[in-house]
Amino acid sequence: MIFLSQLLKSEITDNKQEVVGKLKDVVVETRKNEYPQVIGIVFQHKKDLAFIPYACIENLSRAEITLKKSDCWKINYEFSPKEIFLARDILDEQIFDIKGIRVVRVNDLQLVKIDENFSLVGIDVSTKALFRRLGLADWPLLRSSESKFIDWHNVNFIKGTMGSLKLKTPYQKLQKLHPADIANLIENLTLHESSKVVQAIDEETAAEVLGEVEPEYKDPLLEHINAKNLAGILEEMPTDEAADVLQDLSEPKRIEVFRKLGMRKAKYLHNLTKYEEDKAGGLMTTEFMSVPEDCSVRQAIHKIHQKSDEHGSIYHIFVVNGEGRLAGIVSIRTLLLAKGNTKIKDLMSRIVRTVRIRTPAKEVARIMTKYNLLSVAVVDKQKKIRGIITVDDIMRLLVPDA
Amino acid sequence: MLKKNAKTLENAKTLEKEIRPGKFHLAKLKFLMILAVIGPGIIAGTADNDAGGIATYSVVGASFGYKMLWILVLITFILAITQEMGARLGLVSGKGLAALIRENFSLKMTVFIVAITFLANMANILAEYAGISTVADIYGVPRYIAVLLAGLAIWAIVYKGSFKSVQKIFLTSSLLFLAYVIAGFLARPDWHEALKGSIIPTLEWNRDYFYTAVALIGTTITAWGQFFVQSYFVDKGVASEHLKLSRVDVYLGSLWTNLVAFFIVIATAATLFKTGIKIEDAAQAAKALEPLAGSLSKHLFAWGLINASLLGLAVIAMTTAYVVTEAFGWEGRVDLKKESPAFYKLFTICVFLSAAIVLIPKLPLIPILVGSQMLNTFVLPFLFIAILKLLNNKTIMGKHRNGLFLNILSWLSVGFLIAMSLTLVFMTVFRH
Repeated sequence: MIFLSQLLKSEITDNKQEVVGKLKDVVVETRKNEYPQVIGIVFQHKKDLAFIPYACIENLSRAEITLKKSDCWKINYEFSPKEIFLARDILDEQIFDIKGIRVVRVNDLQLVKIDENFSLVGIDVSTKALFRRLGLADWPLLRSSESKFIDWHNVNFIKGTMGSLKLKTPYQKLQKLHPADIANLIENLTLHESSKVVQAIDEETAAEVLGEVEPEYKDPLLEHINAKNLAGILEEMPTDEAADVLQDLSEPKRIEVFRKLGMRKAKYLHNLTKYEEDKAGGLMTTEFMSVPEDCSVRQAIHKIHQKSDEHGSIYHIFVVNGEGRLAGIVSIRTLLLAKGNTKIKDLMSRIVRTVRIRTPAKEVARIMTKYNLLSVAVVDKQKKIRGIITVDDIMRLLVPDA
Repeated sequence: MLKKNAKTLENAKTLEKEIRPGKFHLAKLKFLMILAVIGPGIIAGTADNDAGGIATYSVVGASFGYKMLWILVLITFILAITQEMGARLGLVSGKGLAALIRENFSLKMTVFIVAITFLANMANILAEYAGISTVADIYGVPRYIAVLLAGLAIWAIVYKGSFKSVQKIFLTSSLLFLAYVIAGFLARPDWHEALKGSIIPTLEWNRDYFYTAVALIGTTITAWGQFFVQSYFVDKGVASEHLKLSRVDVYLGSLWTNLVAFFIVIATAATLFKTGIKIEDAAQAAKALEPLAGSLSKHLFAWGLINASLLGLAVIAMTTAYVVTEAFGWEGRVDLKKESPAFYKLFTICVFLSAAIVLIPKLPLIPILVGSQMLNTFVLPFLFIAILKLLNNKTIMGKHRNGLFLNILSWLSVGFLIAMSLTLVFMTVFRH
């Protein structure tokens, strides 16, 4: 095992014991699902960069760097975008540690010899690596601290690029994390960087991530995401959350986002944003499953199958009578256990707790907790359903700092 | 049914208004956008007028009258240029200066700059506490009470507040510097002389003059001011499309800073210089002003000094936290307490450790302050050369990198600062 810092600035000597130059960088080639392999080293030759291919290197170690021949280096070597310069592109940059779920700075790089070839295996983020690079590694007080390695496979670059290589899915590894973990990670970045990450990951994940970001960080972050991306992300959000987001935006930004949203969606969300946030109207989503009284269990289940992708979570089915008023509710459990041709109106419970649009959020939470409701309908004067509130909408009210 | 239609129509109308705003509405939106950008430049500028700054301006006016005002005019331009560089670097890269230095220069250089800045900042915070102590003396308040109260207040404001509330308090504090403008008018200065001193450069070939002139520049152009303006713009999350507005912010800040300095100088020039009273710090200036310009002047000077010290204290402590965390990859920000433990630990250490140090009896404060200024002047050339290199880096700055004109302007300013810092080092080494 060898550290990049131990190689940098070391003298390169050829087979005639003559010094060719001082090592400036180590070049690796990225390969899918494997550790990047060292393909050569670079030194400064007058004003140019000179490249020595790995095949020409006799010995690459902490003690010495020697070549097999004296004339095997090239000036003006054309690098492919797949080739990365370790010192220039990776050392001292910030990375996501996918396993440890944190943002760290690269203090050193660990190269390991695997079958005749060196590969970049790990990234050292310890303070010890810093001391080593400053030449203080042997100081008695500093010697005890340990190296902390992050496996290359658990590293995702924050910049989204590596050298000149522009990646199609720059945050592939990051996206595999739970949205709450991604949120925790990006909170460590500057708004400039975190907004870039949010814009680069797919919209569905981005919507979930935004749902998890701390409220103090969310508002400035939203302002920083460009309107087009934000509109796309809002489309993926449940309407109640999307309405909340729009409400939190500054007026200029909100207008921009409205312009990018489709007209229908914009109208819809605009109506929702007019409800006050701390009232039932602001908490509710307008996506819910409703069926007429005389429909059968089979038909109801068929409807769920058809529309399931429009809804976040379904706990109850709301039954409406001929005039469109709320008649009762049926739980999913009841529905699953009933025979296919049973009529819904024979199954539903007719005593239904409801709230009004202007019921304070606290009161909604109280009612839902008291009666153990997973979802509650928000109705108007005529008992028509305007939306529903599900338990996950009020959880934040119950345990605010979770 | 009709009612429902009417309602839908009304909703559609409000939506229409939101999507296609009218003229008046547009003006309001523009104003909102300006408010969202403005702030860091003004705060960074005014914070340069900290306790050390006020003391220097008071001494300049008391010892040299209106003669050095032209240097203030020069400083306004240099400050505007250097602060704009910091703002642009922050807006385009989205990173603080310390982070950029770490990523683009050697680790040794990073550690060197960070270590010196850290020491200089700590000494500077001592100066802020010392400013508060001297005002406490004027009003007969025990020093340790004043120092502890100040430390606690600043810690609570930054630790408990959100970015927005902290910024509001900082901006209010910047406005309170108006006290010095009033004090300037109360002193009934000779406006004709003041104007002449501002326009016509005069040089005196003696040590005192040079020393004071260098101190005057050194107190306004600081390493921490440079770090702060960039990190604060980044922390605020101002996007690069607002570069123009940020420039306005920075220029306003530089102008206001030096306008305040101008009024402090003429206040002491019109009174203390005229009667030949020598002073060494800002509190002495406040006391000396009482018989000459009335007790209101004294109170304005004293409370102005408290305000300046508090703002300086908060800003420098925050800067120290920004610099160290950025350099070592523990980035933090004002809005996220839980996620930025390193940032808040450093901030807390800066505020309270220096409070404890300043309360040590018989602490040789003057050598510490001189040392702080020396360190600051020493690190400035390294810092500005790094900044200029970064501003010319195509991968970082893209189309916003320095053009020929900006480069000439920046190198002139930086060259001037380097010459000044070398002079100071030279004069300190060959003191006698």
